[in-house]
Amino acid sequence: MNATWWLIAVPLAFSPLAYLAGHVQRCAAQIVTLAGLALVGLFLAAAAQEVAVLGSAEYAFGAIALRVDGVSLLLAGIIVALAALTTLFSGALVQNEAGEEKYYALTLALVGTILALVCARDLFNLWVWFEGMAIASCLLVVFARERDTALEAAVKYLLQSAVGSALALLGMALVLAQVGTLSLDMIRQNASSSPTLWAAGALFVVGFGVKAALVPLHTWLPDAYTQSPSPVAALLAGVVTEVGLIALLRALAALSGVSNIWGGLLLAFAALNMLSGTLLALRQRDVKRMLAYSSISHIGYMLLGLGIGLSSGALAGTQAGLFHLFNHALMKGLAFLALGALFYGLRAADGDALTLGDVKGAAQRYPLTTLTLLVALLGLGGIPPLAGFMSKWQIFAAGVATGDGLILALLVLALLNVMLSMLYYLRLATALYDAQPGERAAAGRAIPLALRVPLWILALAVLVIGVFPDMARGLTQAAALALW
Amino acid sequence: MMFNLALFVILCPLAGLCLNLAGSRWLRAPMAGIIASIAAAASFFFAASQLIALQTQPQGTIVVLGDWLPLLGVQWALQVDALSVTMMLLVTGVGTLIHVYACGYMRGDAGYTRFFVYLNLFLVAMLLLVMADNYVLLFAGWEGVGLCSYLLIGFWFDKANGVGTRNSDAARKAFVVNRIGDVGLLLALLLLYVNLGSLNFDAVFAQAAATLSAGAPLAVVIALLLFVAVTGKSAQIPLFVWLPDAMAGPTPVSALIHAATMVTAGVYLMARSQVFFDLAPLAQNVAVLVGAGTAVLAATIAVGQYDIKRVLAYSTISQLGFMVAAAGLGAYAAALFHLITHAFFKALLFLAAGSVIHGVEHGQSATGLYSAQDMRALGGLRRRMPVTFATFLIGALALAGLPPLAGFFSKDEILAAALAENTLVCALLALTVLLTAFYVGRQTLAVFLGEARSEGAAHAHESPAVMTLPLVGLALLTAFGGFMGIAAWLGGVFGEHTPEANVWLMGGATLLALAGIGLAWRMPLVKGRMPCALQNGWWIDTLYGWLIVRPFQWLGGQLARFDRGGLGWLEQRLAAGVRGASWLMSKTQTGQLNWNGVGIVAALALVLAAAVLGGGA
Repeated sequence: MNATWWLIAVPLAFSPLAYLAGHVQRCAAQIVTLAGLALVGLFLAAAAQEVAVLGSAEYAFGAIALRVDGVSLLLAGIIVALAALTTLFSGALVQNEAGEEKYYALTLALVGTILALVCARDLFNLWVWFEGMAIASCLLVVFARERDTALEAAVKYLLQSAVGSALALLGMALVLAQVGTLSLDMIRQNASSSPTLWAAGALFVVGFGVKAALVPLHTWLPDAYTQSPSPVAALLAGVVTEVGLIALLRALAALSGVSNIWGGLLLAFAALNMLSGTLLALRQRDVKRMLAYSSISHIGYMLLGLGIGLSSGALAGTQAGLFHLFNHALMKGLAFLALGALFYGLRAADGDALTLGDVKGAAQRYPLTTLTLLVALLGLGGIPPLAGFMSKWQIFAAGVATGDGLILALLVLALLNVMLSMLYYLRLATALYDAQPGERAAAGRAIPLALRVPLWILALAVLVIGVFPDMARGLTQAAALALW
Repeated sequence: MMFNLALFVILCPLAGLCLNLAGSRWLRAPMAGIIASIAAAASFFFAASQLIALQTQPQGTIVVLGDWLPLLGVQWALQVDALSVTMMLLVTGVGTLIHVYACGYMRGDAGYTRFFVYLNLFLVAMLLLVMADNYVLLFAGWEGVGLCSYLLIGFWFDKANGVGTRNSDAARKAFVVNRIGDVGLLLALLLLYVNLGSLNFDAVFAQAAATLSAGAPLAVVIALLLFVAVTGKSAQIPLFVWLPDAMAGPTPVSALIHAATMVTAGVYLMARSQVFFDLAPLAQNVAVLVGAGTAVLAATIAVGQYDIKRVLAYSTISQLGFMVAAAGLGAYAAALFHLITHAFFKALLFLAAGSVIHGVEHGQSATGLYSAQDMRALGGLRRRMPVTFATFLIGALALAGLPPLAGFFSKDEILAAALAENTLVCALLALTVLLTAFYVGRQTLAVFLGEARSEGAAHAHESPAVMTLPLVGLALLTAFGGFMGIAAWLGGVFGEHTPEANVWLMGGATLLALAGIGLAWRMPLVKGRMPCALQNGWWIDTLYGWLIVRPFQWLGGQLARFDRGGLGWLEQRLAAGVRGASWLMSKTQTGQLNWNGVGIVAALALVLAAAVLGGGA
């Protein structure tokens, strides 16, 4: 029983604990959750030490092997940090809501399943934990279960995820039939090029792609993001969607020797995602939905970097894509949390469609909170010296270095998207900074400190990473090396 | 050790301006002027210390203050040598007198403190220009004086001068025209760095002397580009048009910046960069012809002016032509000598003219009909403003070039150099001597003799001592500047020996000047009609307006129309396209689960097809 084991066991064990504690004393659930996450953080640090020395940290549980490598570390770091911040943030938000303790229990369950997923070394575990993540996140989306719209969003999310899972499962069956093993490493060594495995790869792409919101599999995303509580939206946008992408990449990496088409496939989806996400967000006046659509295009930027890495074998591309994943988690997490704080201030329920007009002049009433949202928006738009600029820049640099005409064309497309995306980020920013506070902003209530502190931490991180991008390099480099 | 004080030459005016800036809220009217004047005087004191230091170490030194642009190998470093010390003394010496004068002249002005802040800032920039040990620092000073010139020409930016152009327009014109010259300097710097690998004076000159042969294209191009900068800053053909308009600034500014110091920066640049001009005979010939041509042209225009300051402005352009021609002839000592004497007598003339304007404005009732600067409305001030008259007369005679005043000696040296090199140039310059004596004679007669021709002139009174004392100081310098050994000192600096006195040339030049004055006596300014061409400066401004400004405005208008029309249309179509695409895309987000299912099925079909068809690739 080493750090790896504890890493997964602790959140899963603390999950029912938080539930029980919440029944005893309402506020205890949050404290238990934070304690659990702190403990996980400790074990994560221990695992990181081990990885730094040995290259990876493994734990075998019978036939099941779990391994912490660079990719796991990157994702685990993101989920633990972001979950801690959203838990802190949630205190004031879900206080006195029915099922408060379930909310915290589910958060821990989500963390546990994600940690297990990113450590999985075989397709079956990958799938099992993937399903676990889907269930936990789906229940979080429908936290306001009495609201029809939330139920509708959850149903769509669940059904589409289920279809995706079924397809992924089918892919695994094909792989098992063809190669005779589910271990990712064994598949990688033994798989040879055959139409069955090409089909299996395609099934992985589509199956896991649903969760990763590849266009046109993304249709669940805007509803799920907008209907869930803001901290859950932050987790969905910052981690869950990306973990779907990582699951896809893990499965595909095992089949990397089977065909050369995967890189091109990723690039094609990159183009689709960038363009569709931007176009969908462009006319959106519901601010939360707008941010949800922007996630689709950001998945596109990540795919661009990863696709460059896979198709040209350039480590820099993969690393840049993972760096953008990391930054997107920070920035989108910040954006949704800041929006959640504003929702709280403006007395809006999570399902409410807050439009640009509703948040007009919010900066007059909430200068600091709005500033953090501005940092997130500008970071997402790729304005230096914020984190989003650095990772986009690295993606571009990696792409240009390949000298490939098709990739260069994609970069031009990406550039156009960055430009167009500024249009809606800035539209929100100008609305927020309107000199005349709107009715809702004028009538807003004070935002408690617990809602604001996580925003400052994330905004600071976005700025610091932007100025010192090398701080994240160790993490992304190890992840890029471990991925393919 | 004394060289270390060089920094204080610049620091003094810097401290003065900082003090005035910081205290602008509390300082009462005379205080700002006193602070600025003390700063200038202290700067002069430190400049003098550099002169003493040069006695023991004639080759001078470079005072390094620290790194600036390591990429270019450029440091914060000041060059203290005979040339820079000469300029330092001139700038701070004449500058101090003008500061003192301005204390009286600007009294009661709403922007009193602002004026002295700008004036000190100008000193800082000008000193940076002449003390730089590299072209980059020189360029910084060059731009700095340009900025100060702009700020001070437009000092009364909310007023318009008599002709109807706004002062702010005059300031902008000066800035823009100078910018053309600045581009030349910048290009020269780029060429220098790219080809010679450095921008430090010592390194560049050594490298140029070692690698370039006489007439080498690179040397010619660099020298010509430098000369473009000279024509801008020193108001030569074709870029001289800004200087007459620059008279919109307060008169002390005209004296300090637009007569004595800044406009001579071009001559200083030629003297500093003489290596390149010596290597480029073509550029030298261009300089000589442009200089001599400017001298004659501006002198003819000066004849046709009624405004007391515009006469002096054209006269300045003409005299700068003398200096540029001399520098082009390789007679740098003569050019510098004339630069110094001209600074004395032209500053004197401007300040005396300012004194006239000051006195007449005060004598004028509120409903005065005439501009105090229109010479047709002056006259008879001899008795009302005796000190001003006496000092102006000394300045005028020096400008005309009569012995034994300073202007005589320096002009004579230039004429001698021209005679030795190029008869045509000598003839042009001799013609200029005649014209100069003529217009300055007419000016003196019109302003000070005869009867007062306006109420203001009739009731004018002498200016206060704070203004007349600097006049007396400059008059003394003008009177004895020729005997102070400046010529011999400069000859030593440039390693040129002063040409032997040519009695025939001296006599001839004196006769020409006397003839000019005689003509002035016969043809007074106020009688007879002034030729239209001269009044309007040969319509050169109009010509530029038609040839450059109008086409440029037309082009700008067309581009703006294209931007609004063509590009705007394109923009709108693009935006409409994006909006349409966005609308179309939003239609795909129906919220219907079965439609979402279609997306999954379609993606599966496409990816499967791609994988199976392209899998073997």
